[in-house]
Amino acid sequence: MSILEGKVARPGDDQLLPRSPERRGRSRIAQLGDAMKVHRLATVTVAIVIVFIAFQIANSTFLGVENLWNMSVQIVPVGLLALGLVFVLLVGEIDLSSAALSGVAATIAARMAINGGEPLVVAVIVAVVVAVAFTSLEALIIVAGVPSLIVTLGGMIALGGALLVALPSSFEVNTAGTTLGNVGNFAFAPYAGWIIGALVALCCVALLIGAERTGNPGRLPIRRLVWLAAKCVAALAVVAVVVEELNRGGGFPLPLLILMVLLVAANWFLRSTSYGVHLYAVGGNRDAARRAGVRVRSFVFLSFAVLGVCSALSGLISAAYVGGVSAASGPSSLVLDAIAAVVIGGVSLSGGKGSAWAALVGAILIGSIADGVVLLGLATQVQDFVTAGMLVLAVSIDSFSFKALFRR
Amino acid sequence: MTTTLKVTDISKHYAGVWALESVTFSVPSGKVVALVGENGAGKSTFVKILAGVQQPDSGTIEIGGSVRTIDSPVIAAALGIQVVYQDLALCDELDIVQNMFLGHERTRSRWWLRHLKRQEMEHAAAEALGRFSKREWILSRKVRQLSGGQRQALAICRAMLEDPSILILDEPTAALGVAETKEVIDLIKELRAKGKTVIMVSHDLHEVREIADHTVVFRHGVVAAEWDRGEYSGDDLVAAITGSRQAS
Repeated sequence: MSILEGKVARPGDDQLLPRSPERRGRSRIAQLGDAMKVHRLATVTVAIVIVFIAFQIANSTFLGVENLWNMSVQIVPVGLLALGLVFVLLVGEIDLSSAALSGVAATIAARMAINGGEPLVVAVIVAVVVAVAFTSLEALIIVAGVPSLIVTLGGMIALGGALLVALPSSFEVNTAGTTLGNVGNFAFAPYAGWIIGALVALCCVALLIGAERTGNPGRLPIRRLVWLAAKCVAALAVVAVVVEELNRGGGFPLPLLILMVLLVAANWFLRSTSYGVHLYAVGGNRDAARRAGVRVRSFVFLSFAVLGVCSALSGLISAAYVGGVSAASGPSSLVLDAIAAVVIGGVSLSGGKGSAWAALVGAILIGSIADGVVLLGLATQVQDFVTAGMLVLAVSIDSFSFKALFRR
Repeated sequence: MTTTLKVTDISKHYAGVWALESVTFSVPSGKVVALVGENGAGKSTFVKILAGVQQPDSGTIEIGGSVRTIDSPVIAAALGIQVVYQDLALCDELDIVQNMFLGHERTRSRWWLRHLKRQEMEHAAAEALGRFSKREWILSRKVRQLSGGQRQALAICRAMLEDPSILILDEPTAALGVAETKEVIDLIKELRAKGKTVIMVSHDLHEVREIADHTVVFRHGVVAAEWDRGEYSGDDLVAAITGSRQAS
């Protein structure tokens, strides 16, 4: 028989198809486990809500306006670093040197702008260019065949030494009250906050509609339209509450806006351009990508260049927020937090899987745990234990075969 | 009979090993040609050379009467050669449409970036899948969610999307069940009926004898035997593959 006469499923058919024999044979726990794998961002969002509720019960100031505002700025350095790492992990590589690089970039900018009297814009551009040059050098060695773990471990050690040269242990550059410090701590007036909120809400709605239409050419059935409308309303409500809280806390912070803009841009780049598809292909199946004509080495370079930009911005914002740079800037714990954030957010360490939003939800989860631990006066080790638990749990969800564990 | 492809004295040398040594043969137009041989005989290296993934150390490749240099998969595609690899070369975390157009996405330039024409690709993918497979497809489904047969069909549909004049199938039925194997064999026959040239690498000698118009036996990197349909028995084929008899 010929295998012509093909058929393409109508929109929403995947939800309407009868349960497969495989699905019927699984327990509810196994189905929940599989759903957690597929809907990772939603799972982490639920985890964030649980963490928020738990800390609020333990300390009523956790969800207070001031604490939420501080938290929204504190998560930015980790979030930016995590965003850069999303690109690197997507192509199947890793980077351990990005936190140290953020410290070096911040030091370069601070010394140029504050000690050297150069315009801030020039200092920032030089810091970003140096960071991109460094990650490109790492990428050059990596595409030659040296494992990225080793190359970037070496980079981390070298950058630690470079930071000590630039800033001896007794020396630090104070950014408080300077242009760099002011820009990093800038917050928008309430009306500007609402404009930003409206733009963010528009982006959310556009992304939700785009995601719903992907693979579903033609008109959506009513059931799917209702579900889409519910998701849009929920997104708008969340954005409205966040903007209102930030406005009450002092205004929409500039660092958070930078993170949001870069997240939206990164998401668009990864989902809507051929370069994004190629990045996923390089990490998911490098041989297949090469055979399809994808320039694998170029995309490894690209991902490390993006990480360079994100590292520099992360260092600058961190320096502005904490009020200075020192030999302790860009600690190794920062890069471990950023890696944990993206893995918790669903980016695979083996490459080719995950989304830009992983950086945000992972950073919020880790940031809220850190904040809550400090607020409750607990030992910082508790934060380490909780974060470690979250990380292992997140990777375990991906690795376990729920079907085998909970067979009926 | 016109010749689509002619290779002359193709050789490829790896560290200390001749993967191919002076391979010469012609592929007639609109026929199914089977490449057979034991593992390591040089079949896959030959396929990679035709696909532009590897370059020969020496020798020439003529396509449509002109000598061509195939130094990349993009050049191979431009010359009308598409390959379905044994491992299918699909990306598990990309969806059906993204896999079908990987490397030749339909895009428009926006802000110096190549913005995907997703709707256009979805329509083209739906049309191609509908033309070559009777299965039901959900285009946003990721490849890791597909069965082995669906993956095979997707890989073949992807290769056919560019309407190639030469389709190379590397072990097209190795991972398939009985029904899926029959679907692929029917597809190969159908492509031949449409005038396409199909080069098929296979270990399944029964399958080879059923559909191949011309059979080329590789052994230790050289062409050990060549037959047209009906010129050989199953024993001849086994003897040439194992080297118990040299035939030509």
